Amino acid sequence: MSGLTNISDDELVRSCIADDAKAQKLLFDRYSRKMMGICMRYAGNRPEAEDMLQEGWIKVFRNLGSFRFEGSVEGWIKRVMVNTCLELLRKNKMQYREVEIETAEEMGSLQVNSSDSLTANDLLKMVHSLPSGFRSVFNLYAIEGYTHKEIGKMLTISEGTSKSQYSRARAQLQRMLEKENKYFLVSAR
Amino acid sequence: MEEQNLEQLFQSNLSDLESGVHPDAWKNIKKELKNPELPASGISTIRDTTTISKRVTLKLIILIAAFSVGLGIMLNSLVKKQPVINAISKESNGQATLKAQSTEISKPSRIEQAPLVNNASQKQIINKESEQKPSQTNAFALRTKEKKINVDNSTTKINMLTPNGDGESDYFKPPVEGSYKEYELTIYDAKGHEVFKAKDSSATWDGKLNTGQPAPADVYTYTVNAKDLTGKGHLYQGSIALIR
Repeated sequence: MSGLTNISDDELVRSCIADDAKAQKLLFDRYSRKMMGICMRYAGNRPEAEDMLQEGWIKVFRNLGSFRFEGSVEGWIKRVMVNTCLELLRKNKMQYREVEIETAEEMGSLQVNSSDSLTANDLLKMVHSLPSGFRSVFNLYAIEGYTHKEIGKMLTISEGTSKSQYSRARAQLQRMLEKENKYFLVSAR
Repeated sequence: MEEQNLEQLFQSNLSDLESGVHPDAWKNIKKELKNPELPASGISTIRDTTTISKRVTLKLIILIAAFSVGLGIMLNSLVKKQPVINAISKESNGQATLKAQSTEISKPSRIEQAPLVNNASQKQIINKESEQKPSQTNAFALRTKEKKINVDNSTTKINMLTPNGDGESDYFKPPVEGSYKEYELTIYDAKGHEVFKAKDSSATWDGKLNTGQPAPADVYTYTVNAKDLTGKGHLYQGSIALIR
């Protein structure tokens, strides 16, 4: 086992394809924390993210044979994971409507002061509070860096829908950030 | 202080986010991999077509319902020549009889029906009325069903809990979505006594009482009282079948 830990990703994948259980576990251990991070962004909560991670890894191992050793394994696993997340969200009926939230305010190019008190976890909570459709578009555009055209294809929505979903998601997050900042200012006094 | 825009803030904090993995994750994946492989793409297309066909049927049902509501209204307006009968069904028995009798007197054409007005025939008249606009009842049923699905489907599912350490349903996690700033999971036994309470949204129940002793096999109820990030309250509830 100790000999395996330094093995390159490509070697590891070849062993996995050859049905080497140790190699599979190693690949899982190498990337599952990162992949869980991705699932946590797409899911609305931890149990949902756990389901996504599990489904995603099953897909990874079942389709590893189609990996062409072009580009990184990590990038490939990540794409499988994101697609699994989207598929599961779609299965659970992605919501594209705003739920119980005041009408979206005008979008401004407001600058946010990065505050030490805002942790990645706080931001993650804000992302979780978005309806799943908003959340997906936000993740794909702002974090994964896809274009609205690509997102439209991935989610089978129009490019315009992707844009409008994104601006609403953004406005909602901005409102939450503003609230959060106020909170931190008050509590700092 | 460095200024960032919203995208940069989220991108820099979340793009390389790592998160703890459930201890059973690998075990579950391995188990699933041993199962005969199902054509994954096949499944998803089947699912897609079923959802599409579901949608189509739903639309059809709504269309038919809307059409028959219209028909019902038309029929109703035709039937409006006998408004007294409509009134009867809404009144209590005694009054209904009275009114019907007066109809009998004032409208000889209704004699056929009027003698029917006693307790038994009352039902018949009501039945008749409901037959006249069955579509409306359909439409209402449809609406309630839709609501149920949207609001909370956790109540319809009975959660199984078999805490025997075999890695399957060894603990219970309420099927509650989203992030909450306040969260309280309470579990009650069949008599309504509280057996477990937790304020952590990741809390699970392993089937043990507050005293630490294993709870007896029974059906338990859980409630999750939560306040989301916007301050709105949510209540989820459902049952857990604890099997030992």
